[in-house]
Amino acid sequence: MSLRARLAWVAAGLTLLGASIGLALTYVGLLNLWITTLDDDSRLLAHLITEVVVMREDQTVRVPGVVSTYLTGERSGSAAQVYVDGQLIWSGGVTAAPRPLDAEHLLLGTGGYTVNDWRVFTLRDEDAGVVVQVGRPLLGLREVLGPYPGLGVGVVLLVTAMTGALAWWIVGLALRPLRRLSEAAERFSSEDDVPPIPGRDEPARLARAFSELLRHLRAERDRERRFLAYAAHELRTPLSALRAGLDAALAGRLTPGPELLARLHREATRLENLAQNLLALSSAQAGVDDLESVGLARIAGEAYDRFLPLALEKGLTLDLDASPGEVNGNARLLDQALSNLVSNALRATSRGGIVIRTGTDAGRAFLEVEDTGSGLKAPPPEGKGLGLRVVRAVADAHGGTLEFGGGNGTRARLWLPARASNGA
Amino acid sequence: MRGEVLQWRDVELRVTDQLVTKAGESVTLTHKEFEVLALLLHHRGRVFTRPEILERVWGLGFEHRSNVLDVYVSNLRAKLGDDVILTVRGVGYRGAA
Repeated sequence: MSLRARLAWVAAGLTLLGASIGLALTYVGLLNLWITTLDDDSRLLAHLITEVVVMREDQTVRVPGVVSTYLTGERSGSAAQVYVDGQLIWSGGVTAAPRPLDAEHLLLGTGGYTVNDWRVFTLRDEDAGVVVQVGRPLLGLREVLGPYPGLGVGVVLLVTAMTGALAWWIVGLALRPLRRLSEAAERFSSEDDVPPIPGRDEPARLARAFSELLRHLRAERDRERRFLAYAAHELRTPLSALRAGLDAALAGRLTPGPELLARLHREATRLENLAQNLLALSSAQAGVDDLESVGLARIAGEAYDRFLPLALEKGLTLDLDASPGEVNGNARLLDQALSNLVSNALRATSRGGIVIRTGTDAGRAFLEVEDTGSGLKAPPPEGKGLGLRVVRAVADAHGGTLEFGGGNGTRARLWLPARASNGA
Repeated sequence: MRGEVLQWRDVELRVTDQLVTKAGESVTLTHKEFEVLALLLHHRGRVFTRPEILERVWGLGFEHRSNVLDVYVSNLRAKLGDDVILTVRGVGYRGAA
């Protein structure tokens, strides 16, 4: 059963229970009120009759005719009986009434009691030895109250049905954001977005949070797809070049010599670099857990040694300005990140030079590469370039950030939390 | 070379941990800078040709045309003093005696 149906049933059930209890209590209360009124009425009549009987000195009782008329004239037909010294001396009202009306209380006392569907009020006057009983059939009362329970049950059922319907409607309204969300989640693989979810209540907020999550996951998945396509493309280019070179050599169109070997070596190096970056990316995304103390100056020195020949070949200068900076991290990943920054700088620069810097500033350590190249101010768009992706992933894995700036060229700075200086 | 300390004036090279000091203060050298300096100071006075140094420090197959070695020599001179490495015109370099 759906939540909506369950809530509607619960609302209807509670309404039914509440209304039924209300109906029963009202019915009982009404009945008691009625009986009290009857008793009061009967008491008055009994006193009147007693007065009449006691006042007569000759002991011959003559109850006024008006009393009999009153008793028989009542809608349901009442009755009264007078006993003197235990002897029934007068009886009036409907003849169907039992004699005595209430045998038990004839001897026992004064008060109203229900006997065999009759409500009988007994009044004993001990001094005069007179007992007067006034009775009224309860069947009449049942007749009067008869339609009430039937009507009440009808109303209760109607109200219950209406409450259920109302709850069904309101809950449906409240759950609409969730329904919309679940429909969108079922179509996760399709490209259409979750429609905006209005409302300020809890289900709407929950639905919005999940919709945001869904959007995020979708974006992540799309990024992964694009990246996979990009990586495949990047792998294919050097592989094709390698294959073409080898094919030409095998077919005898090209004589294997230093030039061909250098070209093949270059492509193989590209492939190796690509593989290293992919490896670095996956291990950075998996998170760095084997932390070691890493000196940024040493890493910068290694990058300098590695890239200087390349820079000189391109007619660029490469300078190293390494101040000490110690971080807790993974040396291989940090080395890869710096290499990628330098590679990018070399690619973007055709005149001037590149500087590799390390140092600390306000509790943070940094690796920086500045060039006099194209002057890229903003970070390149996500997904373009495996190298920068790796740098970002390495920054994330170390709790650092990548910052771009610069005047004439580009300055890329990888900030990292500095290691406490006690061990450095 | 193991366990060895090379000295030239107030410059000290500890070969084991690649630590370099000048007048007692630490000087940061890259790995290759250290190797070039260590080679020249170890065989003090001996003249090394450029291809010889390139081969011993960078290994076989290194691109000879670039002036990588000149950059390293000038870096070392800037860090430790101009006459730590002497140029032998038309031949190569030698470590200061």
